[in-house]
Amino acid sequence: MTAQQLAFFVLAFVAVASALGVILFRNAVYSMLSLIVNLLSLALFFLSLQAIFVATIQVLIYAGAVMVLFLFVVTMLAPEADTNVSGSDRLRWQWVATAGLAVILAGGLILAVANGAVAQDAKAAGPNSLAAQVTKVGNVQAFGLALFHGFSFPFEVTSVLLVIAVMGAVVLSRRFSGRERE
Amino acid sequence: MPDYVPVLILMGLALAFAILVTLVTFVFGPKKPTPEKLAPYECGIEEIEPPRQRFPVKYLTTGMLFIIFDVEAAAILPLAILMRQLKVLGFVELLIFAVVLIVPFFYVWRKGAFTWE
Amino acid sequence: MILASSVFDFTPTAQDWLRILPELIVLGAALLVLLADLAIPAKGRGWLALVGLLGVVAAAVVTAGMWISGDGLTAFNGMIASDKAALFADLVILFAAALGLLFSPGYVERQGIRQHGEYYTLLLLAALGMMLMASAASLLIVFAGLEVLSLALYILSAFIVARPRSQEAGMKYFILSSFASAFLLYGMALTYGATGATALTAIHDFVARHAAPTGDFRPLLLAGLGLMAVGFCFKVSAVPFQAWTPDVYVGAPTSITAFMSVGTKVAAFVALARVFMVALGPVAAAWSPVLWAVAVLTMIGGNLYAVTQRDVKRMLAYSSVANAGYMLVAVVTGTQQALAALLIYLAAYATMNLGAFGVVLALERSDGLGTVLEDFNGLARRRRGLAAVLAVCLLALAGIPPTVGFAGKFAVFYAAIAGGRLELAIIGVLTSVLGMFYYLRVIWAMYFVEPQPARPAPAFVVAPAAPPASASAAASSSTGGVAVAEPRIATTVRADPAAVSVAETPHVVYPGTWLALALALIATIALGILPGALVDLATQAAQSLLR
Repeated sequence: MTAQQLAFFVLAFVAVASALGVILFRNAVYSMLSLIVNLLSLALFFLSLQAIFVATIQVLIYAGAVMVLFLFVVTMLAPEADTNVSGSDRLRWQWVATAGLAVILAGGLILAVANGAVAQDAKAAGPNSLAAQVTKVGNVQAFGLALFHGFSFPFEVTSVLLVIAVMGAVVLSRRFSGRERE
Repeated sequence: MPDYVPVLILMGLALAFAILVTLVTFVFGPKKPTPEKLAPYECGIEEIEPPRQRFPVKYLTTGMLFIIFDVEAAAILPLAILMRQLKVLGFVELLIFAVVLIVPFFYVWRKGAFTWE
Repeated sequence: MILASSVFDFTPTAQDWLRILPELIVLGAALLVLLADLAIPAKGRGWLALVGLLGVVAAAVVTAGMWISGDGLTAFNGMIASDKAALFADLVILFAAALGLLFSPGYVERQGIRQHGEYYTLLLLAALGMMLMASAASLLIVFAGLEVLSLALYILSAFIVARPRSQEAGMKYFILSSFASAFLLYGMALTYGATGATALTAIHDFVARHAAPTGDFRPLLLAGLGLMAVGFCFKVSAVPFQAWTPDVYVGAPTSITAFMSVGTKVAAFVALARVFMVALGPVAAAWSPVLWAVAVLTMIGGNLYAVTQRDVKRMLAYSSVANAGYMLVAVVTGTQQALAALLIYLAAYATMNLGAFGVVLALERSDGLGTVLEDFNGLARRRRGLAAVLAVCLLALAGIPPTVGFAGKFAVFYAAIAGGRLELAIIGVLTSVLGMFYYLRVIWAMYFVEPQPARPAPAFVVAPAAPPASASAAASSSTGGVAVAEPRIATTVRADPAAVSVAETPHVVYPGTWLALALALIATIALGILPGALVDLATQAAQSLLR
């Protein structure tokens, strides 16, 4: 077992355990903390795949900013001491159905990977491939070149998405502050 | 990966330093506990209301606006690295990105979501 | 298709920007409206709709110009298409956006929405997202466009502050639709893993070269296809994924419902056609059985649900589910003729559905009530014009001959028979007959039922009658909007006696609404009598996409 494989199995264990923690903790704050661990372990996965930029963004935006927002939401939803989810499941049968479907999906994906589903011919090769570019100019550089050249249009569309998000934040939250209290 | 070895070494040093300092103070520091010292707040102010309660939604608004502009900032990172290589193209593309986003910035400003009440 | 330049040194030219000129105009109009909203005093904000409308009309003119003289190539390194299918979809979306903007000023005022600038900006941005999605030539843009349109619509659905149903609609739509988006994205990621490409042409080439000749579908590709199908089926509200549709359509502002019921369908179906019929066409054997089953379920389920509804707005929501089933028939058939039929049906659905929702919007009271079937009793005597428009649009939805609805249904079923899907055509025709029942029931109420003279509170309790029907609908739509809504209706009426008198004094229908209704009516009848032009345009569009 190489060091990389060892790192993978440790990370995989942490990622799965923390993902389970997100849905199994009864206390919402614990779930959030578990999610942070999960996002951080994903960042390490990206790092082990040599995707430095994605790993950085994962930590900066997801594990950092988005999680702060999640915690705000939890503290806003859960007043006076009781952040525990109580009451029984009304839809217990959905648990069974979901578990069954999840097993099927996971099994299918494992089968797909085991069969070598990512065909070698599907991987881009040649002078214009990502791999060639990464070795030529470096990791973040290759990403940036692709972002500002070939993928410039999706990049610009993102700005429209952000415009809508800004307006949504203001429209949906400000009327509460006027109505709710204070 | 070798490029990042110094970073890893630095991280290890930082972690080791933090653990070391905590350990040293824990081992060598004098320990004379009294009930007052073990209380969460030593400064003596009685709590007025229970600290666990709802956050006002304004924190959330600020947080959301922060994330949105944070994502925008993330796009600048590759541009900063490729500044010389991209020349005018990168500048123009980020300009378009920023011009589209400056409109909601003015919007948020005028609506007063940046002000605290 | 060989890309002229690689991902790493492609540089956009003026040509690229020209090919997305309609989208740019809509974006410009949206930002202009937002800025104008900040600059002008609150009183003049009704004019913002006009600014938006001018933008939409300008974009439509440019789109028409591109139809005649555009080069029809993709822009931005194969990211976005400007072929005739994209332009056709753009025109239908812009038509829906224009009518949505015309419906809005009066409705917005009546519902007490004060955030005009945000409302019109988000409507225009939603239209932009729809146009992007319909023109996407890459999975990335399919997803980006979908997110732009969905995010704008979540906010718009929750726009009426004082109405809990609107809040509920926004929340439900947001949670469920985000979930479906995640499915779609997961499917795209797996498809990318299996084919090594996000550009639709590259996916097509890979699939045609490797999977199709051998019949050896890689499990990863199959998983990707399945997850993408789930995402798309949710967005077009096909039956196993339809639960959100009635609650969102009823709760959202009706002007938004009218716009999104049409626009989202056009965008999602054209994108579905691009991804499944065109890019994944060579492996149709892998996905068509799934969509076949979904189409059958949707046609039967949508119509059965619609029959049990007493609220006309809710009935129209389920009718949109049923119509998604007919459109799926065209997708499953998969021939070029079927693609043309799909486009014809989308255009037909746009005109008649906008008209029907427009009348409901004009009748809806400021508390969001007044759309139950009983409220339509004797409408022909009180509101002759509105009743006539609604009657024509419902006849069209039912597929009665001299309207565009018949042309659409005929095209789809004919294409299905020609493409060897006789069984789907038969199920479609049978369920259409079932559909006539609930459309004609409203017309019957409007023209042949006496209105109740006074409207005391018990009259509303009649609304949720037919307990077995509504109970079954409630049970299967997971949260049971009907059952939940009933007590609220009753209490509202009792608590607020003014509401009863509001029902009796009809409010003014705004000129903009009349104009929009007239446009929808003219289009419904004119395209029904002379469908040749529509068929011709749709055939050209289909030829540009599927050779």
